Amino acid sequence: MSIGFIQLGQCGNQIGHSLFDFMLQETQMSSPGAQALLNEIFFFERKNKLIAKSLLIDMEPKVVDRCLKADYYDKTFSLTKQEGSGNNWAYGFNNHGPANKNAILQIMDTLLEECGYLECLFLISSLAGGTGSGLGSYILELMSDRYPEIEFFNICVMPHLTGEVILQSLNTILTIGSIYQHSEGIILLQNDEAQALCNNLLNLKSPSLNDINQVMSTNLASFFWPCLTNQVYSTFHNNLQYVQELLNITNNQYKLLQLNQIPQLPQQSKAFQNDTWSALEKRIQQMVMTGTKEYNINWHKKGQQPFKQLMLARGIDVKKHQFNWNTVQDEHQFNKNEKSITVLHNSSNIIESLNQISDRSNQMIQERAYIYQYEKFGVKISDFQESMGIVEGIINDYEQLIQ
Amino acid sequence: MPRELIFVQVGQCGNQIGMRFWDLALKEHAKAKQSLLYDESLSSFFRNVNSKNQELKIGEPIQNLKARALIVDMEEGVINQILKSPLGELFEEKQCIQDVSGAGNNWAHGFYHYGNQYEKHIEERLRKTVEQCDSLQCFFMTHSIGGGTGSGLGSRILGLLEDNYPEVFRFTASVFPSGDDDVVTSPYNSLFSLYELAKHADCVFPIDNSALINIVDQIDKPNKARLVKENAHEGSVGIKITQFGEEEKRQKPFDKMNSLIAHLLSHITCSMRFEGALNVDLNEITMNLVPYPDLHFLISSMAPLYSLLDSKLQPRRLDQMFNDIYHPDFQMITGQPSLHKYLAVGLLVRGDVAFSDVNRNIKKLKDQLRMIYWNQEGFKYGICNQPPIGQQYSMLCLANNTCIKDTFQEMTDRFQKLYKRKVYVHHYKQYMEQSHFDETLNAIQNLMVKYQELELAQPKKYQRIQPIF
Repeated sequence: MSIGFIQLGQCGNQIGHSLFDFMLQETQMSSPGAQALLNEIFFFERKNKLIAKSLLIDMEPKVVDRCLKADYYDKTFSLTKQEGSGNNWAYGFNNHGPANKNAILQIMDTLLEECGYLECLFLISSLAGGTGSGLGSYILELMSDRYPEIEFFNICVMPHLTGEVILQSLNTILTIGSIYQHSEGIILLQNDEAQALCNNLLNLKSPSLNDINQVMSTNLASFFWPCLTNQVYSTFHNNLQYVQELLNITNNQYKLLQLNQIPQLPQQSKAFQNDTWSALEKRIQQMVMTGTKEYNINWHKKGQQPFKQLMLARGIDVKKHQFNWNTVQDEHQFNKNEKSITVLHNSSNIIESLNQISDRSNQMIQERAYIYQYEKFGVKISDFQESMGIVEGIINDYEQLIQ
Repeated sequence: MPRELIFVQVGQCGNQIGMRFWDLALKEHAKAKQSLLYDESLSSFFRNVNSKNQELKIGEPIQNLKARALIVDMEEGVINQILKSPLGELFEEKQCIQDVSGAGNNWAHGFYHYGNQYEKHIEERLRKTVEQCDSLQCFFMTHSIGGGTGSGLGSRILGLLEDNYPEVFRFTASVFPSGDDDVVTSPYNSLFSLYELAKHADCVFPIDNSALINIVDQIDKPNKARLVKENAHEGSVGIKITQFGEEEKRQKPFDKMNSLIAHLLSHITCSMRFEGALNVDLNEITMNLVPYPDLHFLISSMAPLYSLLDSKLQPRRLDQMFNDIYHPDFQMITGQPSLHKYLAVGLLVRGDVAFSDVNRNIKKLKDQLRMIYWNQEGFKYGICNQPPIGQQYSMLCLANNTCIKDTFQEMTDRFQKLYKRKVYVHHYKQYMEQSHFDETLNAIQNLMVKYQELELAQPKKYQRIQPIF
C-alpha cells in the first residue's frame, strides 16, 4: 500500500505539515512493526533520509518555506511562485494552472519514480481561497487524466460560515462543481467545527490557527493510521476498500464524506478518561446521526442513520466489545487515548452547510458582485451557473436519499 | 525572489508622506531582523548596492540600501530637503524628477504642461526601476489631490502606469482636501483627480486632513481623549505630556499626521513582507474588497491609536480594539460609515492575535454593522505575526462603504459653487477644453448614483438554479 499527498495553498500545506508531524510523533509510541508499515505507506527513502510522499505546491512562498524546514520534506518535490492567487479561483485555475503544468507534472513524475508507485493520492486544500481551490481543481483534472491508475481523493476545508474570505462561497461552488466528477471521494473538514472543539472540549479559549490545524490533522491521522487486526497487521488496503463501499449508495456515487473522532480531550485530562466502549459507541453514533458535536450532542432527536459508515475503534479491551456498526478493531491506544473511536461517514448532515453556501453564491451571482474579477481570467457567468447546477444536483441527490 | 513595490511620491504632500514612510520602514525592518543580511522582506522596498553601484543579491550583507521609489516634484524645495536629510542616502539623483517653478495649484498645469514635458523622462525612469525588480507586485502612489503637482502630474503618472504596466496593481494613498482648505482652486483640482483615480487606480485609500488632525488630537490631549483616559494612570499622564511637549516643539506640524499615513502604508504591506498565520497579499485586498470595478475607494481606520512615541500606556484589551475600529474617531477620512451600507470589510491584524479571537469578534460585531444583503459575511481578514513599532498588536480596517458618496457629494458641491460662475476656469482653459469640466462632473455623478443604488438595495428573493442531471 502506498499513499501520497498533494498539499495545496496555505491551508493545504499547513495541514499536511501538521499531519506528518503528528504521524511521526505517533510512531514513537508504536511497535516497530507499526513503524515499518507507516514508513512503507507514507514515506520513502532518499539519500538516507525518510521523505514524505507529498508534493508541496503554493503560489506564494512563505508557508512552503516553513514546511521545508522539516526533515521529511525535500525541496525537489515543492513548487512555489511569488504572486499568490489573490483568492480568485479563476486566477488559480486558468492562469496558474496552464502556466505551471509542466513543472507540476515534472515533480509528480519525479515523486513516482523515486517512491515506486502510488495507489492513491489525497489532495489537501481549502475551499475558500484561490490556489488550493482553483489551482487544486486544475491539478486534479490534469492528474486524474494523466495517471489513470492512481485513485485521487480530496480533503477539503470549509471556511467559517460567518466569513473569512469574502469570495469563499463563489470559490467553494466553483471548486465542488469542478472536482466532483474527477474525485473518487471528498472528505470535508470544517473550520467552525474544529474551532468549536478547541473552545469547548480542549480548554483552549483562544485557539490559534495552529491549534485548529492540529485538531483537523489528528482527526485525519486517526483515519489514515493502519489497523492491527487478528494479530497480523492488515494492510491499509482493507480500510480503503471500506472507503470505496462508503461512496457507493444505491449504485450511484455519493462522494461527500465526513470525519468524526471521539473523545477530544486536552492532554492533561487523558489519564482520567474512564468511558466504557458502549458509552463511547452510543455517543459517537448519536453525534453522527444528529449531526451534532461531542459537547452538545442532541439526545432528544432520533436522527438520521448515515447512508454508509466506517467505524475504527482503538484501545484497551476493544475486542471484548460487540459493536453495532461495522467496526475495525485495534488495540493500539491512539494519541494517548485509552479508548477512541473514529467514524468516516457518508450522510446528509453536510447538506445544511452546502445549502447556505449555495444561497450566498446565488445572491452574489445574481447581483453580479465580484464577477468581473473572475471574468478577467476566463470564468464566465455560464461557468458559475454550471457549477451551481452541479452543486444543486448533489444537494438534491442527498435530499432524495433521506426520503 | 521577492515581491517588490515601487513607491511614487508626487508633489509636496506626497513627498512629505513618503519621507515619514521610509523612516518607518527602516525602523520596522531593523526591529524585525537582527541580522545584517539583505533578506527577502527588505527587498520588497529596498535594493542593495555596493560602493560601485552594482546590485547585490539576497543573502549578502547590507551595504547601501536604495529605496525603490520615484520622487517627483515640480518645485525644488522639498526634494532638496529630502536629499540633504539623513534619509537622502536612500535615493539616487536619477530617481528624482524635478523642475523649478511648480504647478501653481493648477491641475491642468500639472497634467498637461508638465505631463507632456516629462512624459518620456518619467517612462524611462519607470522602466529602469521596474527592470530592477524580479516580480513587481504593485505601484503605490502618495499625493494630495487638491494642489497642482500631486493632483495633476500624479493623475498623469497614474495613467502612464496603467498604459505601460497594466497587470501591475496601482494603489494610491490620496489626501483629499478638507472643507476649510486654503487652496482656492482645490475643488477643481480634486474633482479632476478623482475622475482619474476612478478610471486608472485599482484601489484608493482616501485620507483627509481634518480626520488626521482629529486623531492626532486624541493622542496628544489625554485629558480630553476618550481612549487614553481609560488606560492612563496617574503617573504616566504627567510623563506623557512632558515627553510630548518637548517632542512637539521639535516636530514639524504635519509630521505626526504624515506618520499616521506612513503607518497605514506599513500595515497594508506587512503581510507581504513578514510571516503570518493568515497571509493577505495586495491582490487579495482588491479581489475581496472591490465587488464592482469602479467602486474601489476604501475607508481606512487604525487601532489602537497610541502616540508613536509613548509606549508606556497599558496595552488595550484586544476586544476593545475591535470595537474601536468601527468608530469614526479612528478613521483617516471623515465620514459616517455606520449610517450607510458596508459592501465589504477587510481586517488586517498584526501581532500575536489568535485566529479564533478575530473570528469571535467578527461574529459579535456583525449584527451592529449594516452589511449589504448579498454580502452578510463580507469579511476578509488576515493575521501578520510581526507587530508594529512600539505596540504589541494593532489592527487596520479597510471598509468599502457607501458613505464615500457623501464625500464625493461635498466635493461636487464645492466644485459647482465655483464652476457655476466660471471662476478661475480661464486658468485651466489654457491647457484643456471646457468640456472636460462637464465630462468630469458627469462621471462623478454616475459614480455617486452607483453607490446610492447599492445603499438602497433591498434583499431580493432569487430562484435557485435548477440541478443539472
